[in-house]
Parts: sequence; structure tokens; C-alpha cells
Amino acid sequence: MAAPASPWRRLRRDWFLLMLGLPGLLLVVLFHYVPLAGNVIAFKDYRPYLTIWEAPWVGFTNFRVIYEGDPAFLNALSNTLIISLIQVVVVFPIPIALALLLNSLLSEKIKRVVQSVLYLPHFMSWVIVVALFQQMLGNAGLYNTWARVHDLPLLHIIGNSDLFLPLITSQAIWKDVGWGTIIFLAAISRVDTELFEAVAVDGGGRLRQLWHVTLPAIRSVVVLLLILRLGDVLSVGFEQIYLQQAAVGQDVSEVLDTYVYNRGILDGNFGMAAAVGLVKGVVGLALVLIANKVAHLFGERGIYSRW
Amino acid sequence: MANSALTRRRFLTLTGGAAAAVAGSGLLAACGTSTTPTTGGAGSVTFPEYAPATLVKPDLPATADGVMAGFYEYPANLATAFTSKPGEGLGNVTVLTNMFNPVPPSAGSNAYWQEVNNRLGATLDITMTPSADYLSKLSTIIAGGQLPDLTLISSKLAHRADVLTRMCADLSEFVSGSAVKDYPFLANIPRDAWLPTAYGGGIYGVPIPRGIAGTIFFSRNDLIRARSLNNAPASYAEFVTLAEGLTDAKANRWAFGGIKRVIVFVGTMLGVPNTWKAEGGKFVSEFETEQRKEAVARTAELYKKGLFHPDSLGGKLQVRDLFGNGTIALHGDGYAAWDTMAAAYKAAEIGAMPAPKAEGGGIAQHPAGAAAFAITAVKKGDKARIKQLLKICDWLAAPLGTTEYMFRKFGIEGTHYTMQNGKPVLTDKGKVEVKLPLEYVIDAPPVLGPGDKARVDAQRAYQEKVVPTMLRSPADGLYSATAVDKAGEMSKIIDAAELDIVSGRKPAAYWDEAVAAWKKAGGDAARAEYEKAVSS
Repeated sequence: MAAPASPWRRLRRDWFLLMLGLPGLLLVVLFHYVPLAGNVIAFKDYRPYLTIWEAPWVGFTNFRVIYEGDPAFLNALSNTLIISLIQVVVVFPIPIALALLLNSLLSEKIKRVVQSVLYLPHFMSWVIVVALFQQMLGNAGLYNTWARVHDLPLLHIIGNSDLFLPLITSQAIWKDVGWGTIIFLAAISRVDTELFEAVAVDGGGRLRQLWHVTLPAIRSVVVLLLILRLGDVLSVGFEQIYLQQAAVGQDVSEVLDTYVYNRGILDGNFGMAAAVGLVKGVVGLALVLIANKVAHLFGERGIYSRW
Repeated sequence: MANSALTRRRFLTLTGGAAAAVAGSGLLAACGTSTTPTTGGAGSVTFPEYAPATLVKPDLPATADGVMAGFYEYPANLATAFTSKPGEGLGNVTVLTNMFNPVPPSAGSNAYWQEVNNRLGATLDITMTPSADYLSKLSTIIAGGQLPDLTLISSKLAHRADVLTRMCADLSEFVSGSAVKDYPFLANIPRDAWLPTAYGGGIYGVPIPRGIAGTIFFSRNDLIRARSLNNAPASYAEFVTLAEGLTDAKANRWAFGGIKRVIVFVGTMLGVPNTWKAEGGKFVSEFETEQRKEAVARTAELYKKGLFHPDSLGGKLQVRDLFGNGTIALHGDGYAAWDTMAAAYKAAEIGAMPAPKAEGGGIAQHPAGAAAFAITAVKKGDKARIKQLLKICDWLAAPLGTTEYMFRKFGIEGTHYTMQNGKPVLTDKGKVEVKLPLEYVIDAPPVLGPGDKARVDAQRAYQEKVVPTMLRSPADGLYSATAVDKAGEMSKIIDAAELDIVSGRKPAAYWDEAVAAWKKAGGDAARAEYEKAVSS
């Protein structure tokens, strides 16, 4: 290998490629980094009719709900963590299983059709999805109206605070699991088919192929996505929950995102909302860094590593 | 016209009290809830001189206690009030308001909208937000820092006083006292309605006036008759019997659809005060009364009996439609909904049910409605533009008897409506296009009719029964910075608790806990501010 070129020569050589990247970089700076400065209102008593500069500094007052443990905040936090845990434990593995299942389909045609059908719900907004569930399972929805006429038992699902978790979990699965398979399918398709043949030659069946070839092959992708998922652990989907909040009450449905919206935007506590959002971001970042470190300890590449 | 006149003594209380509210809010600032002393209230404001328009003589004149004037016929001779286009040269006029109807076709394919623009001489760019989402929309627009030219300011907006005084134009030099003569139809808006526009010595908006008839509990008299039930229950027990008789879940029929309005109706029967009760200078909130707690508990019982539409709790039902198609038979709504629903649901025979006293013995005292639906604020800017925007408001407030009114309400004759037996009847095109929510930007003071004589008479009869004994809030016209700024947060605590109790998720006793939270969130502060306002 030749000695690394000097920075100047590399610039002369790559200027065109760098120019191509420039608009993207500008967008990232403008829309991701510049707005970060707005987080300063977490330390100010910001009012919408004042500019950020005019608003007085208040130190950590806005963080009071967190360190003093406002009961509504604690409730939102615990709901968020419970929903998040369910999403990681129950929802996260399903696309993997589905991808393996799809991969085992032999007919390309059937595979295409199944995939398209599974992807479709991803493109519906939450408003539509929630309305669909309401129309089908609602207390005056399709099933219950029919059941009422025929004296059959009614299903009290929508608006039942005991079933809220299963409900939003199944909605999330229905909507996004198909979409979630895309990356796993791509990873599986990269597996060298000779490896499968080798297992077959050694007398291994389909299960052994799965265990010894497919899963190890997609392990790094699974770990990568899991780490990224951990970064979102405190965001569990604003729209989906907000739309269904009134029917089940805030005790079971208030999560950090809706708390920030209800208290911040509607009640005009922008500083407090920014403070909670900031802490959320910091916690997410810390989780990603820790998970990445743990992944390294297990010999995975994680989302990034220093060479 | 429906002017619920203020007595002289009462008006003195108002203006005197407002000065004290300024002091009260300064105190509040010291507690750290406000960064800048919020001055507010009527203060030294000179309200616009009331000059009622006398274009058409009503068939049933308005009464002093607030019963609205009634008209049976559309006037034969219309006056054209505007000789020049009020918005000429303004270019684009942006408007943010709420709406209750389906969204009309956009300006490009809406001949009515195009003609509105043509007659105004400006392009009305209206952002229409469903009323249920309006507060969120408004809050985000304000947080974004860019107000439209005309903005409907919701009464639940956080920091309302500061938003108005800092982001919106002070209109007092244009409309105070006799200055309002430049805008004759804004002068036609009664003074009661102007009260909520005054902050810190200025006038920060134009009100959308309303009669005090407030909310009416509508009933489907045809459904009630079909089941041989009594549409005028004389006690709470009879009311429950009626609701039970109207419910037939198997046939997809229920008595009620919306929770809140039933709580309020039951509360009216039980004698709940209108927002506040003043006794010897002490203010007691309606929420602190036993009756209000009882009203929620009784509504929870009604819910448990299965008298509500099964999806009532979510609050996302199209209650008017359900009422119109007979799925629900009782429905509380603003008095103006009577005509809207009668026009939309021709087959429905709509009646109004006054609340009886819970234990019988006559009609209960109903809470008086607010004199304004909301106020529309004008964006800060150069005087010439503000004046012209007010001209547009004036055009939008042109009352019955003007060509402007007929056009606003019905569109172009021949295209959007035809006159049949002296009454305008919307064509199919009209039904679709004449749905711009102009009446939620500015509107003329309300009247009954013109319309079907039987309906106008029924509306008038209801008002004559209920309006003279209406309960006014002792806080009306008094200023409390907390009540204004924290309105959204405070009402959310109550609304959530009501849903929790009615749904059975929480016991009736939970109410006390919610009221304690409400007091802490601002209820106690508001009380102190009102008490101070009255005592000085």
C-alpha cells in the first residue's frame, strides 16, 4: 500500500465527492444540530411571546418534576418503561421470526405477495390504524354490534384500561412487524448458501441450519438494531397513545411523550417540557453507549467502534 | 338584539375590580409563576360604544333579561352596507380558526370561497382546524412565533393575557368609545361580549358574540313519542326513566353520547352554581360543592346502567351525527346547534329539554352561557393594515338585513341557494361549498331565525322558560390572571377526573382528590384574585 496521501492531496483528489456530500451535511447541521441549541430553554423560563434570549435563566428549576418526583411524572415514566420493556421483549423478536419464516418460503411469487401484504399497514398513519381497531373491536364496533344483536358475549377491549397494554402492543405488531423484516431479510439473503449445504452434508436438518448458520449470520444486525432500539427506550410512540388516551384514562396511558405534550405544549410549560425531553435524550444516549460497550465485550461490532 | 344589559352598579364592580386584578397578578409574579407582571382586566379601557343596528324589525323583540329576538321571515329589502371592497389591497389575509363542520372544498374549486375573496378584495387564506384539536394547533402556532392576521384565541390558551398583549394588536385606538363608529357592525356587538377582550388597559380582540341561552339539552321528540315516553321529565327520577326508555342496545340505540354535557345537565338539576358562587365576598368554586360531586357520581350511575353510547368515553364520537341518525336521543349542544341540526337532519324532530329540579317542583336554574364564543385577535402591524383587517371583521359582522349577511350565510343566489316561499334553500353545490367557518372568525350578534315559524316559536318558548332565571357567574367580568392563564391545565384535571369516575375506574370519592389538585393548580389562586377584585 502506498503511504497515506497528505490531507491537501486527498482534498484535491476527492473534492468532487466531498461536494456531493455537502448538501446532506448542511441539512444535518441545519435541522439536527442547530435546533439542539434550542434545548437551552430547559434552563430558562421560556414563554412563547418572549424570544429565547429574553427569557430569564432559572437554572435547574425546570428539572424539579424529575428530581422532586412529581407523581404525574413518575407515573408517566413507569408507564413508559413498562411499555418499552414489552416492546423490546415481545415486539422486537417478532420481525426476526417472521423474516426467517418468509425466507423459508420457496415460491418467490408467494413470498412477494405475503411481503407486500405485510408491509402495507406500515404506510397507514396511526389515526387510520386506531380508527380501524375502533371500528372492528370498539364497543359499538363491527363485532360488538353484531354480538349485541345475536346475544353473544361482548368484547370489552377498546376503552378497557386493563387491556390497554395488550391492545397497543398488538397494534404495534400489526402495523410495523412486516416493515421490520426488511433489514433482517436483507441480512439473511447475504448468507453464503454453501454454508447451508455444509450443514446438510454433515447431516443437519433445517433447525440446525437455522441455529448454526442463519442466526449467527444475522447476529450482528440484530445486535445493531437492538442497540439503536435502546436509544429510543423512553419514546414509545406519541400518536398511537395520545389518540387512545381519553378512553382509558391517564393512569395507564400517560407516557413521557404525552406528558411533555400535555404539560408542555397545552399548559404552556415549555421549559419543563424541554427539560424532560433533554433528560430523555441524555438517558437514551447513555443507554446506546453502554449497550455498545457491552456489545464490544461480547465481541460484536455494535453500531460503531474505534479502530 | 340579544343584549343582556349590565346594570350600572354591576359595571362599576367590573371596572373597579379589574384595577385590583392588576395588583393581584403582581403578587402572583412574586411567587414565581410569572416572569413578567401580568396586567390585565378591563382597567381603564373604554369599551366600544354600543350602537345596535336597526335594519330589520324583529317579529319577537329581544327582552331585557337576554331572551333573543326572533324573526319569522327574511327581510324582503336588503341593504348593501359596503360600497367598496373592505380588504382591497391587503393581498393575502391569513386566518386561523376552528370548525365543527366537514372541511369545504379548497379555494381553487370552491366558487363561494372565490366570491368571498372577490367581495373582500383580498385573498382569505383560512386554516381550519377541527374544534377538538384547536387548542393544540393554536398553542403550536404561538410557540412558532408567527401569528396569522386574524386568530381565534381560545379561552383555554395558556398565558392568554401575555400572548394577547405581546403578540396581538391593541385595538383600543380603533374601536374604543366612539371610534368604533368607523365599524358600524362591530358597534352592533353588545358590550358584554367585549369584556373578555380587555387586558391591561387595551382591547386585544373582537368578540364573536353569543346569547346567554348557552347550552341546550336537545331531545329527539320523535323517538320519545314513538316509545310513548315523557319529553318533559319533572324530576331526576323521571329523567332516568326517560333515558332508560330510550336505550335499546340491541337496536343500537342509547340515551346519551357525550359525558360532560350529561354531568352539567344533572348538575343543573341538582343546583350546581355557575362556575363560582359568591357568599359575603367569599368565592366557592362549583367543583367544591357537594352538588357537583353528586352530579358526577349520578352520571357514573347512568353510565353503569348502560345508558351511554358504548364508545362515549373516548370522546371521539361524532355526537351530532349520532343524534341526527337516532343512535342517541339526548344531546347537549350550543343553542345555535338547533338550526344547524334541524337543517342537517330533516327527519329528526328536535326539541329542547329544560332541566327540572332534581326533586321536582319546577324548572331548575340554568347556567348562563358566555356572552362571547371566543375572541379573534389581530396581528400586530402597521395601522393601515390593522384598520383594513377591522374593516374585514366589520364585513363579517354585517347582520340580518344586509346583502353581505345573506351572501355570507347562503352564498350566491341561483348558484348556492334559491329563494323558495321567501326562504333561502341551499342547492347541492351550496351545501358543500358554503361551509367556510366564517362565523368562527367574526359574526353578527345572534338572533332566532329567520326560519320556520314553529321552530322559532319553540326556540323562543324555551328561552322564555329558562333565560329569565338564569344563573350568572359572579366571576363574569372579573379578572383573574390565574383563571385565564391556567384555564387549560385546570380544566384538564377536572375533565380527566370526571372520565375516571364515570367510567368506574375510580370511585366517586376520588373527586375530592381531583378538586384538591385543581385548587393547587390554580383554583385557590383564582379564588383569591376574584375575592380581591370584588372587595376593592
